[in-house]
Amino acid sequence: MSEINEQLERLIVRSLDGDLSEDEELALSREILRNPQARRLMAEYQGVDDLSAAALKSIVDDPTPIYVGISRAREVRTTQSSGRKKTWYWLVPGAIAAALLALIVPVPSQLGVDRSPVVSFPPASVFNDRPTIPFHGDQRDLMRPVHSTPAIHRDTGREIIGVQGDDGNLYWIEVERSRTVKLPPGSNSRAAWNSL
Amino acid sequence: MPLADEFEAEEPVIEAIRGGDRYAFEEFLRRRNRWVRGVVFGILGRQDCVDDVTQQVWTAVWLRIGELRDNRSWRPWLYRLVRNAALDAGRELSRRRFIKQPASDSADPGVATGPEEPVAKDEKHREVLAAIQSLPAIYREPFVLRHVNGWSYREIGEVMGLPVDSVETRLVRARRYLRESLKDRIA
Repeated sequence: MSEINEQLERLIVRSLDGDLSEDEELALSREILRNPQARRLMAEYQGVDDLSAAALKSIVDDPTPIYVGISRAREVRTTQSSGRKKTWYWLVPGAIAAALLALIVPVPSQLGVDRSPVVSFPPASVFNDRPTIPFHGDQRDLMRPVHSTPAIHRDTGREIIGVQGDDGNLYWIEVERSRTVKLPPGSNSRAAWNSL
Repeated sequence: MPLADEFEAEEPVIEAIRGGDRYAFEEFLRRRNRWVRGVVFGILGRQDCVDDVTQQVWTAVWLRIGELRDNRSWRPWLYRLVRNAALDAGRELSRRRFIKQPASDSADPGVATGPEEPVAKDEKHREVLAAIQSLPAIYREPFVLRHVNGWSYREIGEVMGLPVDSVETRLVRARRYLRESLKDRIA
């Protein structure tokens, strides 16, 4: 960079960044007109900026969605895993107790009872006071709940239910329950709402 | 060029988020996601990690907004959050040995120079991103902040804790380096 000193290079960069005062801009313009090396450097830095801006735009404008709900589900999963660490200490006495129970309590086959495979279904939901079966036919064995009591997320108030899919993976499902209020015929809905 | 007013306008939104307003949070996310992605890439220098780290950052923003003492200082607070998340991700990747060693003059030992091939779809973008990724972290970060967010030297210096002269020096050196790396492209 024989023809371009560092001071001029800084002026060029600051000009591209819009950081020059009017006087500095004027002085640089004069130098650019007079000095072909400076003109070339300005064009090259402008090229660097244009290429970089376009390439960086392809990253930051990537429309990858951010899901707040998923974030919270992840948080729940983290809490679950840290909880497992603490419960690990109970595994040893728990295993001993289970072994003792197995020795004392007779298994169903010894009692002459058929041992059918245990298939646990999600709790039946209720729709218009009529119980409904959540899964039908082939869907029955697709998902098995791994928690008998659903956890409640502390921020959203939603239920977090862990289910194990038929692929063996564990899935967390956030369930949002809405509250249904039945009003007697002829009652004022606004008054009922205010009384809640 | 971001104006001071633009940042001050976020204060009511921040206040609403502190109160647990999820819609305010989504609005803030929509406005500032580009900003966050730019900072993540500027610090980490890896395109393939931007999505994951950005997701972590927004989760942290929602969970830790209560730690923000003054709503007006949301920008340095968010910047620190993003920076820490990006550096943590860089260290984690280093532990897994999925990345190359950082450049010798990098200021942050945990920050990587990037994967072997950036994952941009366009060939030209890929080449340019590779050049940006290969910049030492101390030059890459202000360069990306300048180009993605259009921040002034003062604003970059403010969040990075640098005097304006140092920001200027780093931006000049970043361009010098890129001019050399991309000379075939800009010829």
